[in-house]
Amino acid sequence: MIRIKNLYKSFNGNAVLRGLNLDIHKGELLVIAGRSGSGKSVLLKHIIGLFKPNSGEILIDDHDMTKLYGRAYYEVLKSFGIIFQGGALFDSMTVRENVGFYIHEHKMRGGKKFPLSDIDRIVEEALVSVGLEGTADLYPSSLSGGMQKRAAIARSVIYQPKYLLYDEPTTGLDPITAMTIADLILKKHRKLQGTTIVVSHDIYTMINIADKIALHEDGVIKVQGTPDEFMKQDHPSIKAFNKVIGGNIENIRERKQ
Amino acid sequence: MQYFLKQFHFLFVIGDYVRFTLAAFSCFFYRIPSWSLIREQLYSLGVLSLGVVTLTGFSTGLVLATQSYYQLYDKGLAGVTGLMVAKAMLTELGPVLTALMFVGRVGAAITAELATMKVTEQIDAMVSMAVDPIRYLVAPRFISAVFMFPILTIYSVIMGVFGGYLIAVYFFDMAPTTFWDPIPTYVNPFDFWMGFIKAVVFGILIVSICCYKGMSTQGGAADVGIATTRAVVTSYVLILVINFVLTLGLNVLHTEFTRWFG
Repeated sequence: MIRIKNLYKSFNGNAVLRGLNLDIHKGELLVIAGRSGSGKSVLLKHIIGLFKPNSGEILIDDHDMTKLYGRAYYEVLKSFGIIFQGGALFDSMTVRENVGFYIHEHKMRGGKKFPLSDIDRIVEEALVSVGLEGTADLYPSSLSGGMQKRAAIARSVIYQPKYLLYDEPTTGLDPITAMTIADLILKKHRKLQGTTIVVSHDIYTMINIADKIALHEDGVIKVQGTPDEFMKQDHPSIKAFNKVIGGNIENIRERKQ
Repeated sequence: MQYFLKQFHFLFVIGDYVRFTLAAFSCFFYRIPSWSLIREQLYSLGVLSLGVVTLTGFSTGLVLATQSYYQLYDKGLAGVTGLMVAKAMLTELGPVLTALMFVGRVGAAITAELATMKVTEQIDAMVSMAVDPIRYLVAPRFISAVFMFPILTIYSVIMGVFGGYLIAVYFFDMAPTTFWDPIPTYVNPFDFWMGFIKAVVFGILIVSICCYKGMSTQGGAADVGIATTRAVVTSYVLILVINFVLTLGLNVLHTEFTRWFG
């Protein structure tokens, strides 16, 4: 599990995280909601140690991510996969090389040894599973935004990480593509049985995929709970969400959880 | 305190740069990156630079021989044209001009590429997959530049002397022996070491500055441009400054050394 305790972070005197506490349990799909620019992505980057906080702890299976450096840090990172907002595919490599990158470098998958001779087969499988068959030899620049995101998802899920993090997965996509990406996230979460954290401000994504929603505002988690509990809370931002969906969560629910 | 931090911010940058460079060098001795990555960089940093280095060395040799000849022949010194070209190319123009061309051809490309990867989160993505970007991206460039740059410099010196030879013999009708003869007598190992040490220092300097500037870029497309400009300008200035320091320092050292032990 991931336990975030009292996390503070400021950039040039501008506090983004102000004593944030959050527990993320094993097997959970947590959506962190909040306005654009509220520092949700900053929180995500703290979890994988790309930013170091001013104070506070991030415990990942009892390793404090804020105090790890060098080899120990990279060892913990091996169980993480993160899908960045723009996909962040390596544009000097083909889709095949991108998707196979982790296994090629570590010769591991899901924490176990994996022979390199099998790499082409599982890359192909991973691409099919995200609906990108036949694109293996293309470069990322010739894929559309939605396809890049799918390829980025394939690049992370292929090595079966324990923790899968999505940074604004549906932002900048048309509503239909966004919905299929949301479906894909849920499908992958169920298949891998790991812990998934999605940072999003897209109400449709939240309601339809989340086990739990946490509202990030003013540098702390203000409200958290299952989608049904969450939408009933009395908080200005949640009232605004409710207005968008016409006051009834069933209006946008696509399937029973 | 705030004022102090602002005034001496450059000290933090220098400290950061030194730490970065040491981290990259540590990959020389352990955690060597895979051969295929190094080979790719050896090709793009070294082999693809051959054209520009040939042009630089050759044209410098031509100009140097022409200038020397016209400056010297009416004083009856035309015979030392070859020596002039060889010494000047070896100790000064070879390393410096190759370094300047290398910054433009290779350094700028390194900074732009790494900076773009940084601002599009590709470097973050690499870290998140537990691959150290210093080892995967920076170290192959370091290793290639440190090996390739001295080779390119020597090659450029050879091209320069060759150019000088062509112009002296075929345009000024100098006898080939007149051109060659003083060279083995007066070009000594010290001249070679002078050029070689400069080349090694410049190679390390260029690749470390350009990689550092690229990896420390933050922001967007405009910042990639700013980082590239700064990397090129910083490299140029430091090449010129360090060239002077090395020329003076090595010469003083050499004179003292020969006085005591020679």
